[in-house]
Amino acid sequence: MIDPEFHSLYEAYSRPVRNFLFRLGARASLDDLTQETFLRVWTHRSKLPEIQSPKAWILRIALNQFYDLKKRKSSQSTDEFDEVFHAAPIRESLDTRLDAEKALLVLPLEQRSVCILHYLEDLTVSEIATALEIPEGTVKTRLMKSRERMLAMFSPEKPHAETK
Amino acid sequence: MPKQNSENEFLSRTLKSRVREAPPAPFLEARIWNAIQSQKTPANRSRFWKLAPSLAGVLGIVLAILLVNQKSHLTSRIVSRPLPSPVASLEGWESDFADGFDYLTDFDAEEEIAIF
Repeated sequence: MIDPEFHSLYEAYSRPVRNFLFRLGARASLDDLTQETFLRVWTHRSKLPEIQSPKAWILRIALNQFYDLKKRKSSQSTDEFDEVFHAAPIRESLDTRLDAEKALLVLPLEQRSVCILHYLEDLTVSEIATALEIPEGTVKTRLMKSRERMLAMFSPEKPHAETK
Repeated sequence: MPKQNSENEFLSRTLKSRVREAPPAPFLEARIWNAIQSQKTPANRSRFWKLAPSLAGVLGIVLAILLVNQKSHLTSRIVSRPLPSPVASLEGWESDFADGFDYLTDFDAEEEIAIF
């Protein structure tokens, strides 16, 4: 029997957590990372009422789990999303969805995480800064760099091209 | 600034429409809850048992040291116990000899025969 408190917590945040991890590049270990994230959230749930943005806090835990996994895997010199990245053109070379995902995965992890949190999870700059414990200026710089790179990759569909 | 806003809007819209969401995992919630439960009970209960081999090892080493120490103490006591010295046993031989000699010199054959 699942605890009602855990159920409501899972209901509220499981999709953002899973989407965030998936978009960061987690594939085979997506379920394991989600599990580890919620284990930690549950262990430290007493902190939740004091936290301004629970979503940002939980996504930060998920990001830490992702970093830990990357560290562990770096010794094996393989990367989950690399496999997807290389295999993708064979399967879905014409899929524009995949191009957007590839564009995200090409970004360095620091820029990718900020980009996903801002553009896909709709967190504000200050929320991201609080969650990642970095200055707002750093968030803005990372966002600017990621925006430039993404726009360069989507060059035929830049906004000014659209408006014309 | 307006250009930056339009770029932000464009990126947000493009990414939201093109980047997939994670596939659903219907049984994950139960799996995580089970993991939480199993972490709660056996792990906490088994903390002692996790430490037990180390504790037993330390205890064993301490006992071994004590035993060796005690054994060596006993051995040293046995070894250090003074043995009867052959020289010591001969001490006083001169007086014994003198007594014996006196007895022999004072021997009176007739007296002795009379006794028997």
